[in-house]
Amino acid sequence: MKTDLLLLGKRIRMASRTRRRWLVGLVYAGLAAMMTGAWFLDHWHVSCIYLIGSGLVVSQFFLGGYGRGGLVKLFGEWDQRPKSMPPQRSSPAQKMPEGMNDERELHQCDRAHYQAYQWFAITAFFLPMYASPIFLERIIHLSADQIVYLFYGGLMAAVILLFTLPQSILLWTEPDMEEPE
Amino acid sequence: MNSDSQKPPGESGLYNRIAVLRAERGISRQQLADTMDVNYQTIGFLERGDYSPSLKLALSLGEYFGLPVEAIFSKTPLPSLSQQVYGPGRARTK
Repeated sequence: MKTDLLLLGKRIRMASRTRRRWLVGLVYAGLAAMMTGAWFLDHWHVSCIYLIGSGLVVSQFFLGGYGRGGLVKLFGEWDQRPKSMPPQRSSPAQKMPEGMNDERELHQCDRAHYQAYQWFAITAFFLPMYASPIFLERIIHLSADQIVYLFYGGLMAAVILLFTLPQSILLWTEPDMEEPE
Repeated sequence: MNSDSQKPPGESGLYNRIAVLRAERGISRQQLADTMDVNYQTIGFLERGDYSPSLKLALSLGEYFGLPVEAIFSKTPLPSLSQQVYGPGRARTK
């Protein structure tokens, strides 16, 4: 994970976990506010595209993980040697490229993805029980339109969470970063 | 008990001597991290016992310090180096 967030040419120090948690909170509060605003605007008919786009922008510039921007380094291994090559002894010329993950960070990335997608699996398991028309229409008395909107909103939230949740878990859980000696 | 790492280990459950060995050789976390091809944060996590290294990293650390892996990492508290060299009686301080 990077210690500074580069935003419009300005470096913002984000080594403290409290700051990172504030950022995650603000990102999701902002996205929730946009979703609410979009509901009142056009019931997500067209604005859903902009909402998903906003999720991508947030992921790219604030959270990171899938590009050079954001706090989380690019997901992926730094050792780019072909698998067929024999393991090399450490040489001074071979240095880890800037902004790439080492073995601990890769382990943390894996853990964050596992945790994030575990929630999706649990939701997918229980969803058929609650998403049945019988439950929605007869028990909580939703109209057909409301069911469609609920489905729409749920799908949009799921898409946004799909590409922001692993990074958010990382930013939330990683302890305060130390300064180099 | 005299030991290099009096504190219980962190999440990894491993005791280690990395901080002592690093101080003994006068190298910073950043220098060690550069040699090991990891980030300096990872050296901090290793020293606090919050991360168990891969076998490759543990062997690289052993190679770098010129010590066997079991002299750097242990599942039980490690005795201090002075105690190991001079014995428990002579290493004791008043």
